[in-house]
Amino acid sequence: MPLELIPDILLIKDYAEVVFFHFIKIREKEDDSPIEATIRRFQEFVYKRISPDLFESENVVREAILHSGGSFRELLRLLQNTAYEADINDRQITADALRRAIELLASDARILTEKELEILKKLKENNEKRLVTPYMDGMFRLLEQVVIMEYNDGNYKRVNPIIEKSEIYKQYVG
Amino acid sequence: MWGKPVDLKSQLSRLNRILQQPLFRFIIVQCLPEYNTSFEIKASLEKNFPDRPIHDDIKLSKITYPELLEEFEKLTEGFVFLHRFEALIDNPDLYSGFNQRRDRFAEKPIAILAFLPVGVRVLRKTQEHIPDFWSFRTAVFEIKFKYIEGLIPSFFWDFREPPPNSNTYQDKLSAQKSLIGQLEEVPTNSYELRINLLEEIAINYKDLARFSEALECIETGLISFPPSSAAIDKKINLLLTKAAIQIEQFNEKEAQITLNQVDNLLPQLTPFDWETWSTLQKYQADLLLQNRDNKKAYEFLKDKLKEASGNLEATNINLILLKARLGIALMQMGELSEAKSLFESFDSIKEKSLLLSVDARKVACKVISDINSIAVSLIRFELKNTLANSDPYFPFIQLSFVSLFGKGRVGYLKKDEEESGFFEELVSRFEQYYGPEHPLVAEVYFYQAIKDYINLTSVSSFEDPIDSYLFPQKRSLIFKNLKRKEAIIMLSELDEKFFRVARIFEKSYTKNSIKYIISNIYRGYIKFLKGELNDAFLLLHNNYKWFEGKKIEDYTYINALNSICVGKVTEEMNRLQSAIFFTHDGIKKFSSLSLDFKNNFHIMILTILLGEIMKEYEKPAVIRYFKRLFVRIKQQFSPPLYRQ
Repeated sequence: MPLELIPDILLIKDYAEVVFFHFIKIREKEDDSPIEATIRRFQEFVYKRISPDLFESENVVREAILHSGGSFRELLRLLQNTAYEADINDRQITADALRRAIELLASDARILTEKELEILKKLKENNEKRLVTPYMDGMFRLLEQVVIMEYNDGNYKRVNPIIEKSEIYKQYVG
Repeated sequence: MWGKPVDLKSQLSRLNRILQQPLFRFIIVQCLPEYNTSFEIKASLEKNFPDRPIHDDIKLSKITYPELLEEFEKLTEGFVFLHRFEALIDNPDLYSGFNQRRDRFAEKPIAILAFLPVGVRVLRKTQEHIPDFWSFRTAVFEIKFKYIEGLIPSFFWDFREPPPNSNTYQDKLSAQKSLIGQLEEVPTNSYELRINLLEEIAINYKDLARFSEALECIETGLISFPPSSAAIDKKINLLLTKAAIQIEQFNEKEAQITLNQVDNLLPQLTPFDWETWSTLQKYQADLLLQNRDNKKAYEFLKDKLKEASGNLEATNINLILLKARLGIALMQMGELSEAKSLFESFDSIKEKSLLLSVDARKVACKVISDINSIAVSLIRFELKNTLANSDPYFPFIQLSFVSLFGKGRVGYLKKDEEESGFFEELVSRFEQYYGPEHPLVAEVYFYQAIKDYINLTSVSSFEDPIDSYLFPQKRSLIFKNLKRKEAIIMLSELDEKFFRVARIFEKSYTKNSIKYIISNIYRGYIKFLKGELNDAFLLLHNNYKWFEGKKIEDYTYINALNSICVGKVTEEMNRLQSAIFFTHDGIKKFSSLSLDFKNNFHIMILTILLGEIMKEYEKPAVIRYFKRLFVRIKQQFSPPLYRQ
């Protein structure tokens, strides 16, 4: 379903069943530790498309997966940008190129408003206290733009790890 | 890249890497429209990918979604340039197409390069309209240029704000810090160096709208001259900067004293400097015009122009600015056709200097836009002209237009102009130059907020708060197409916008301070609509107090309007005695204005409404008073209008 129709979801639900596919949880809700089984599955996904030889190390892929937040599209976008950042002379996708790509994509955060940053701050606080964050006014755009990612049945939300790397996020949310 | 000024060469190299494979790509390029970035990109792509065609002829502002698809169907490979991509924002057919059938675009090995103006707002707005297609984006480029400084013709700002003498607001702040640091290290007996630095710091403060600090620097500079100084030109420059600030702050008496000092020093300049002389005359004329001494200003300028014409070239900008002031005097005297032909005569300078003539026309547009409706046709012409020719001065014409719009002619803000996303561009450009707290930036915020207010309330005139306060049916318009909850959210957002404006203008008392009051009237109205009557009262009463201490005849209309608004709010609060007091105060102020149809009409309506409030109050003495007042008002109207 196109994102632009999501505001009309209640209307659509009258005529059709809407099934949500949340992101795949890549870190534990409780202690934020990486979920190795998921990471392995994502690695498999990557290596079926890009030869492992093209990466400087396995760790580059792992870091990219962790920064994808459990979204295949985000992972591919990140890897695509990493490839653009890679030095053609290296003939490999390096950790440095990944860092530059993350920096570039993190600049998406400059569009965030102060209100939206407040939401992200609240979300971070709740996650630290292990509280569920309810839907808040203004959250829709953040979900739509994958600034916030939803897991499980939607009760577990967290900020896109790439956005967490942006200066504005670090300054405002910490 | 975003937030990091990177030179075009490295950006093009990254773009080429992204486009290496002939696959679908969606790339957003934010750049200043006046610089032909797309030409640079085109040239680079032609060089690097000679076999892949570039399609550069689709105009989103003039195309429907089916037509766009049809165009796409014809293409098999290459690059598609979509200029003014923000045009899709106002075309639901188009943005829905991009969202719902994004696959139609993505299935071909074609790279789409969408060009947007620089700035966060336009980016966000575009993103909000095409969330689906946006998620397909490959990269976003923001292309900035260091030589941006040269894009501002300094004289253009002569009637508004001083031009920034360094690149951006941030540059200016850091330059200021370093200048102050340098000043501290200069020995006190290095007079010349100290004075030069103080002058530079003062001008910077003036550009930053920090007038009291600027004046302080000038004063320090003026007392730093050794007794036998020959640096008359320096002293004159400092004094002229001082006068400019004093005029800006309405300190007319002090400005006159400063100008007299310049006048006394001027003969000591050897050789005589006609440029400085004409700057002095310019400010003298400003004082006369500000005092509405139009006839005196006209004669003064005629005289001075005669004197100047033998000594300054016809293309000299100071000469043109003196002529522009003569135009203002003529318009304020009601000699519209003469004023118009004077401004049009700037065109004749074209033969001598093409560039200057363009700028002179823009100065003329700017000036008359502030004054009289004859600007409408000229500015519309200029706007069209600059749009058609990708004129580098487009933002400044836009500001002229915005200013015109601010005069109340909101009907002229037509869809064409809205489509160009010019507010977003203006805000971003001015924030970059002047910083977020500058009155000029606040001015753009102000007009933007009014535009949003107009969109929300479907009103057609700048003065409409008064009608909306008074007539419930106008108020209900806001809630007509919106659920109450939505309307409240939108009103709150609007309130924040006006608050931002009010906060900036409150800090600096300049000619623009009235916008602080107007913003508060809008805020009061918004609070009134939201049912927050106490807050509305506090805001408007604060305005009422502001006017009490000032004698600014030009603003009597706003003053009257404010009193009426307080009256309405207090009536709603059931504080009838206050309602009567403020409404009556408003009527008195309206009555002191020159009589024209509009004011008469307002007075009549207001008097009837005052009567209504008084009836509720049910005090015979008050009713008697009202009856007397009504009879007096009745006498003021011409019979046909009264019968109406």
